[in-house]
Amino acid sequence: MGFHLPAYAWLFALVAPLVLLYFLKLRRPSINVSSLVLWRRVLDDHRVNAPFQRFRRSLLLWLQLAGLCLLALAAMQPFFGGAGDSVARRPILIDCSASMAAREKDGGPTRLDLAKARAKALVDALGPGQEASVVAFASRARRVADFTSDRRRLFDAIDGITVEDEPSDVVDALRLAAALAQREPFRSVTLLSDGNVPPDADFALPFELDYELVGPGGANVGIVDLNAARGEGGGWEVFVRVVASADYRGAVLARLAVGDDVVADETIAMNPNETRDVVFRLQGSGDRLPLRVSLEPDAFDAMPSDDVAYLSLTPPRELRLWVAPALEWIAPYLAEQSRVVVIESPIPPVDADAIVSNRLSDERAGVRVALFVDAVPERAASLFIDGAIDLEIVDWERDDALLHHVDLRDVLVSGQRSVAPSRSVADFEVLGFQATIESSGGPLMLAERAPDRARWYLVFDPLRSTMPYRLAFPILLANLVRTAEREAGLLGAVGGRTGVLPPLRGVAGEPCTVTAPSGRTWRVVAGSDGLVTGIPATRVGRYDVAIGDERRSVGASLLDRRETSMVRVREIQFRESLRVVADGATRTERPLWPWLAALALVASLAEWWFYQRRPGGRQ
Amino acid sequence: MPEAPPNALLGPSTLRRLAARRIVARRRFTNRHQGANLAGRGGSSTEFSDYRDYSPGDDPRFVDWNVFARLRRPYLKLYRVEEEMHVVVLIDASGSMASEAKLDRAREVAAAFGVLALGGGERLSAWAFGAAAHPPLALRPRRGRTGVPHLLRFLDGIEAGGDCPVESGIERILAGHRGRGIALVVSDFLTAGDLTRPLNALHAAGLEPLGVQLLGPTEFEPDVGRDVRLVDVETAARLDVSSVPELLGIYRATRDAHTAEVRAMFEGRGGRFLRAGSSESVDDIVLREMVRRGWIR
Repeated sequence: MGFHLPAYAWLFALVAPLVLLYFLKLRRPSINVSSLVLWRRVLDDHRVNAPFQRFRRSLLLWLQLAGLCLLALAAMQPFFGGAGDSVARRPILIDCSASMAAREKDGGPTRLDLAKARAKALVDALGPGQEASVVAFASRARRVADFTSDRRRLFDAIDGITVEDEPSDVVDALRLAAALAQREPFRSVTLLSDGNVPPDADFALPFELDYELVGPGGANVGIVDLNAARGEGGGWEVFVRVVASADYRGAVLARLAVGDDVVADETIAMNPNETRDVVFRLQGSGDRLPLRVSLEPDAFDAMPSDDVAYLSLTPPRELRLWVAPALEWIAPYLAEQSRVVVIESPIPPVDADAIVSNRLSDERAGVRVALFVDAVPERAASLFIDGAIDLEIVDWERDDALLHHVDLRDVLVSGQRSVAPSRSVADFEVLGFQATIESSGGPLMLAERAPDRARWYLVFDPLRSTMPYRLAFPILLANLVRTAEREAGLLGAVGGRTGVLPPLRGVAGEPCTVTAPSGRTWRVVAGSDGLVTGIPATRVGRYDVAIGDERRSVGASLLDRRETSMVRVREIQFRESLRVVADGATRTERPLWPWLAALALVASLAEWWFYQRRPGGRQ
Repeated sequence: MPEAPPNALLGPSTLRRLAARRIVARRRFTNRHQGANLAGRGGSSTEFSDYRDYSPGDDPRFVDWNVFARLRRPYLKLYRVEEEMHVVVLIDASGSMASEAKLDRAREVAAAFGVLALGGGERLSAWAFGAAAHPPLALRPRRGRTGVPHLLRFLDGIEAGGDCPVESGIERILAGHRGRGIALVVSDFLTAGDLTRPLNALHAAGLEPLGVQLLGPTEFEPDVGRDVRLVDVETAARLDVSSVPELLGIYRATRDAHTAEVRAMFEGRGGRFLRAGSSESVDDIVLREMVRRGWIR
């Protein structure tokens, strides 16, 4: 119980003038009597003149006082329920991740429908001076309505929220809420979710969290993983992982289609909480192979978005490598690798899968993998000082793609440069480089990763070290080939996920057109590096990207075990051992002023009736 | 008794019933004039009263010769004297009597009582007082049934108004009255004044005081369910009354106490007192209540 506008309590002060006016006998009806003799004696009676005695039967006064008090109370905008005091601002976080599309039964409302209805109820319960904002979140959070008390705007914003076929990231939503709190402070946040969120959140709550679960959801089965590996004889093995939720029991027909042609299918029986793997073997080759794996459950399936997954395969071919002429002694090492062709050219071709060079000028944007030898990236040049020095390798990153199974112990390096004494490895990390080989004089190899490319820099000349005489060197070059093959998609492929489409190679500065599965079309412009990045893919399906005359189809799949399993987390563990437990409905503040106003009206009507009542009517 | 002419105050049936009734005086305040009321002393009526020894000079016609024959001593036979009783009707015609038909009822009661008096052969005079500034209206003494039309005309001519209190009105009337008998005072007796002196004067003047208090319906059950402003119709004085739970009860008790006080004053002076409502009929007041209380037989 509380008041939104307690300042209006001053209206109670009107009781004093009301009583005063009443006893000044305004509108007191006159009655002629034969004599006042008896009445004067009556008024001499102490019972009539006892203090407050006249209050007892002054029904008119009591009704007027009741009406005034009720109106004053109504003006103070009392509310019932809630946290006991008025909440000025209430951000409402609405989960719109893939699992929010789940229904409990055919034709029933989705969890998101229920969450939206609940959010509208919260908005409807806003009192005067209270504001709400709406944040929708799946894997990313976005504010769909600023703090406002305009119910129509809030309703429109809530109505505009749609399911995004992505896993949920409640921490991102809470971070956004925390950012909002910096500008417009609030005390508590309402989280409307189906509970399909990570049980642990690496986040320190700066506010109270009202965690409200919506919709139980129903049985579900879906694809949680899809990948392919090159099989023997140039074919592909397609691996599909299917998971059933705790309520699902039934058979599922899994189909593999290349393009629009179904090439294989398999029926599997799923039990609750069961995980089953299906392997399709695909023979033959062609251009880009757009694969589509779909499920057809024979029982009710709560969420259709995880019943389909997409995969794009690259046809088998030889890996195209280019080696700088100055490093021709390396070429034999690479040519020994299978399915590799070393391109003979004075300059690196733009369609090379990997290059090995000692010149930074050989950098090509379209080349995914590059190894620069005896070269220092320009951004890190200031961290080195020139000078011949003998260096001893002290450690290396064994998990680095190029250093798998590479043993660099006892390798001696006669370097031409070393790290300045005032510099450290942290300085390289600041610049975006990872020191993968460290020596007594600083990093000997730097790695730089980007979404569409990988770069390694050996800052020393291998010929001035013992490395070429060690087994480590051919292994390192073999790793380079494997990495290039992997980046080129020649070894395998994984199903594309929703969220953001992988970078696509375009023409720098040129626009390209994206058509979403829903049919919506928009234009994006390739960056200066020729990459088209950041294409949002919030729904499962194929996205058609037209880059010049070329049309590419990129599939986006949910492929999230948590979303498919439909698990409901009732308790979220936050930092500092803080647990937030879903606790029914958020205690909303129910306004009482309409009732009070109605009662005041009743009191006024009763007072009017009593006042207008014919004298003598009371027998 | 011949039929009285139709009038607005008393109906034929009331007049017929009144013809068979007589006023009963508790005290024998009679006049020297021979009348229809028996005096306490010996007289010449046919109603035997007593015997006494004969004294020289007594009228020998009154000697009871039968007793003389038996006892051989003369005894004088005494008869009750039938003397005239003066009935005075005093009507309060002040402003307070104008409301709730109190004056109408007072005129009817006065008419009925006057008809009884005139029918019984008594002398009747009537007075009405209203405004203190004007002398009371008076009907000079009348006797016999021939006085009935005069009485009715007199009563018809009374109009309410004025602020003359009842005690003052009685005293003013006594100043111009001669005769012993019964004085019927018809009023609401809602006065703050002292009735002791006028009632003493009535008693001293040889008039048995009979009081009829007429109260209106709202004086029995006032409407004070809400806060009201009471206005005195005589004086225009105002009094604000707020409704409290005990108000009606206190009013009733005060009213009854006032009535009891007035009743005590009348009865303390050998008189009688009756309280009636103006909503009651004259038959109920005169022919039922007065008969039941022995004022009329």
